[in-house]
Amino acid sequence: MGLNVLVNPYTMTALDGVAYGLLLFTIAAGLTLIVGVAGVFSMAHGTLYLAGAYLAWYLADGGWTGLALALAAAVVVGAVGGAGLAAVVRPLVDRPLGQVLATLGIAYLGADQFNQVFGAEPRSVDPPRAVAGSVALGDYQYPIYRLLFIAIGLVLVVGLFWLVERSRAGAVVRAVVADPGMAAATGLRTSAVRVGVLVGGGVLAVGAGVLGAPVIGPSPGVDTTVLAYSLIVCVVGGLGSIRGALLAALGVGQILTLGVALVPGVAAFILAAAMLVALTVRHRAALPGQPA
Amino acid sequence: MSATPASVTTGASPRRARRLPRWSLPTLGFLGLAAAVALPWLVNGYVIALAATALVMAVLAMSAQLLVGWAGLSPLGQAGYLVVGAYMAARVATLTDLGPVQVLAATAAGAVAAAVTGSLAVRARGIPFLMVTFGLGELVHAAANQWAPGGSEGTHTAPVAALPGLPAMVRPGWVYLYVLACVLVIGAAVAVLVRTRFALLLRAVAAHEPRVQAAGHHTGRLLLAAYTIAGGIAGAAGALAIAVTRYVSPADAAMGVSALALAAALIGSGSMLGAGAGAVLLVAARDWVSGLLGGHGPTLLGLCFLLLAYLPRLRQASRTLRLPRRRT
Amino acid sequence: MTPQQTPGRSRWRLVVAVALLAAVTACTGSSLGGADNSDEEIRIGLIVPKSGPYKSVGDDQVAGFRLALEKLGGELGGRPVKVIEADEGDGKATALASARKLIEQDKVLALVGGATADTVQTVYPLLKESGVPLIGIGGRPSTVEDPSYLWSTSWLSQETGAAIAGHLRETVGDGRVWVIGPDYIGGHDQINGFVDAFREAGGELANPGGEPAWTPWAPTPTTEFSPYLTKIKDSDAVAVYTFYAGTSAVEFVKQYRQYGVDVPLYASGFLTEGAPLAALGEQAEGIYTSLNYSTTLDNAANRDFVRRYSAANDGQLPNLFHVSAWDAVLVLDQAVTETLRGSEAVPTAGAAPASPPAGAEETGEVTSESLTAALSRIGSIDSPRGAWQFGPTNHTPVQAYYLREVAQDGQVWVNRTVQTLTTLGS
Repeated sequence: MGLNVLVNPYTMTALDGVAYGLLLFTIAAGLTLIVGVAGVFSMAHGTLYLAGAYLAWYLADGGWTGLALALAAAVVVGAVGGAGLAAVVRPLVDRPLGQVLATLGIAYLGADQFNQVFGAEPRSVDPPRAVAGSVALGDYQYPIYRLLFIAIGLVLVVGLFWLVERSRAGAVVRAVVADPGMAAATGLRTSAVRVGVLVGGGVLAVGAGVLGAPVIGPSPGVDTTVLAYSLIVCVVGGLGSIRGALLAALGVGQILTLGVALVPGVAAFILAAAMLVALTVRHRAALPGQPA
Repeated sequence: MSATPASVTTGASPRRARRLPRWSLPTLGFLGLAAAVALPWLVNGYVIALAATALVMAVLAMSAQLLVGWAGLSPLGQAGYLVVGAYMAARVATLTDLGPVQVLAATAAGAVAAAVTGSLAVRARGIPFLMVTFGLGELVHAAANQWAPGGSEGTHTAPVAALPGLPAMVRPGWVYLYVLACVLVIGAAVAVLVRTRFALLLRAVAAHEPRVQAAGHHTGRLLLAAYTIAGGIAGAAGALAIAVTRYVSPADAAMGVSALALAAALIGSGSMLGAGAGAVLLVAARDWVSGLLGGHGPTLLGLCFLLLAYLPRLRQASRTLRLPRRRT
Repeated sequence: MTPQQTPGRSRWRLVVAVALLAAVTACTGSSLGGADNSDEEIRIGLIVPKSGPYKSVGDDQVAGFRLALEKLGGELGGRPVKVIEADEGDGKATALASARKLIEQDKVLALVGGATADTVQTVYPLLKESGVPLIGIGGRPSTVEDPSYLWSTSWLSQETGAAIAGHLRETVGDGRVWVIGPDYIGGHDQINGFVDAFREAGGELANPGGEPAWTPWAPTPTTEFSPYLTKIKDSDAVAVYTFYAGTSAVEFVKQYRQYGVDVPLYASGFLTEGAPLAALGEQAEGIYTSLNYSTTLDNAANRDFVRRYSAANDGQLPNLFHVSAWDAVLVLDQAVTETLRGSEAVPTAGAAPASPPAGAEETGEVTSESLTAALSRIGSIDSPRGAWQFGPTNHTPVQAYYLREVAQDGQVWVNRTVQTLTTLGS
């Protein structure tokens, strides 16, 4: 069968790169909306992911109810987190540095509290038993959950695109981004939109944590890693652009898997270099402005 | 003391500033200096070492302040240049244990590194600049892990001698005094720098860049010069850092150190002394208080950052820093 | 709008800051007096990670230390003990500050701790300067020029690999072994310990190029192993040897199973010691590891130790970090007893330019110097891992290494001792 030709170490790794990339996209989509649309420079995004991952670990029971419960909890926690972020950032509307400091402070606090509550050991989260196995692809085995995750990720991508480009809510968001003054003049409540985006971004991040926990599990330091990757994706993709975040996330995912396999040791530099190149070549385009 | 304290400022008379006698500030400054010099005889070695660390951070904060308070740019990667300077000083330490030579070499290394990377950084303003410097700091961190001598474990360095002919300083009290002397020298140099025309031009660029360009100045070059000088100061901080800890490792370039310097610069809101004071306070909070609390340093630092974010002082510093789309 | 400069206020702030600092430090006591423990109490500084990536190791170390102290009734050598804990953080600036605090402010007689080699490296110059010994209970750099003040109850990173290399060579015969590990100095030491001994025994690596595969460690340790696992599947390796700890260990084993790599897995014991084993459970079944301890060791000291630990911790099992800290208490107990017995101080072996002064040793006054001298005289330690004593060159334990297999013991997953591999130490 042609499958055996397609399936070799490099394509397996590339498939993994797609899964990882979609996970990064789910996380970074929230961040790019928060920074690009709500104008909030949130360094606490990794903390939200970690919260979701710990939720998944705490509520996991090997079955679908545990996952459903964790997702429901994720929506609540994400909404509360997003609203909290909105409240924290409200007095700092025109002070991006203040926002950086405040959210950085929250990130430090959150990390320490997670250590207190959940302990400092790395935790492993298993997906529901039904999808915890592996499926044979040619000569290789591939974890079912990662394939499932790719499917979920694609659904999410389509959903987000539809939401931003086709729905009324998306139009409102784009209007507020393009020209807040005009939008306010036409009667749109810009502050409500901002809070809404923050809440939505929060839910996305915590949800990504719940779904992604079997891939990137909860442990101290994960919040910094996730934040760093999300920032790179947002910067390279352009702040506020979902399309850009998707492409950038897929690219970063490939660098972290295929790149590591092909040119080990240099992958870290490639990431940093990509970010710097994107920033300098496109720094004018790195303005919040094009939501999709 | 015939001070004439103003009545509590009400909205009605905003111009009645507090008036102190003219000699009060210099006297207090002198007393503060005397206290700083006398510190080694007053406290134990642990606190002295903390004080020395605080001074090193104060220098890093000054380097950040040149960019924040004058050029209107917020860097999140100054620790990268500190590490470059520290490794250069460690290198020079194998040749000579003279402290001042190490400091000069480290300053040069930091400046060169900043000049090279600055050409990338100063193309951006505001938040993109923050991100670029963050990326550069991480790049230095990764490079140090890969290629620096000692790799991720770092290297030890020999004790430093303050002047030719003097023995190398081992007791923390002497190291502190040496660092204090260097910091005063650097502070004096910086004080001269911020009174030059160049500094004034930087302020102008921060306020309204197109206007300065219209006046015929090449703002990119001005900012690059500022970035280079800031990198040099950070490099000097690196040399002082290894004089204190006698150890350098890539972790010194972590984002947390840059964040601390940036936060200190923000506390200082436009003044070098303020940045120094801010650094002292943050180091005291992070290290000394967390030592008392037994290991919750990150929580404390987080709370500090959170509080700092809301200080009204910051309003001034961040007004010079706008998201690009809002720049008029 | 130009940024306002407020020099007056800032000068105030500087003065206030300095004054505050001075006032506060004055309260901490400004004595420049020397360290004297003329009162009965012995002060020990426990420096472990209380924050950062190694916090769980630190928690284990503290637990082991306190458990042993409890067993001895809170006394070392018959003298009451005060333990002061401090945070080593990530092993760099925080560790140095904490060590300074313990030595200069709390005036401890000896330091115990150091979860990572970084901490030992950072603190090492301070030990010589102040004459305070460190009982290392975790990682340490493989080479230290002058170990007079460094006494480890733990291990040397090369030893785990070197211990199992011979056994693995016998097991695989002419087959080749795929070797993979993290790309930092600790990882290099662990893996090279194995590779050097394995090659010496005539073995060959299955990696392309014949060199171990190094996975990225900086800026963050990688947790995506699929590129390597697919390569392993493709190769003709008959066994895989690795070293990982913490999160990386958990992810490596998980993905090893998920990607269907059915080559037998051998590893340095840290892969399945403590938290990773608890997290992995069934997924770690059948992994063979090499370490200087296992909870299933059958000796009186271990039975007592495991019993005490389980009773105090809800039936959980201890791990190597508990044991190293436990042994540190035994070492100190013997050292203090030896000091109190009193004899002429003999400077420790090795070129020690700052040898402890032959001062306060008459009739067993307990000081840092006399304690350091006594450390070189203590004999064998009756440890849960088996009996060991300090090696003369590096002051690390001359101890047995065991081959262990992950298996189920009732409801619990343990590292079951299969056999004793060899005795290593210097």
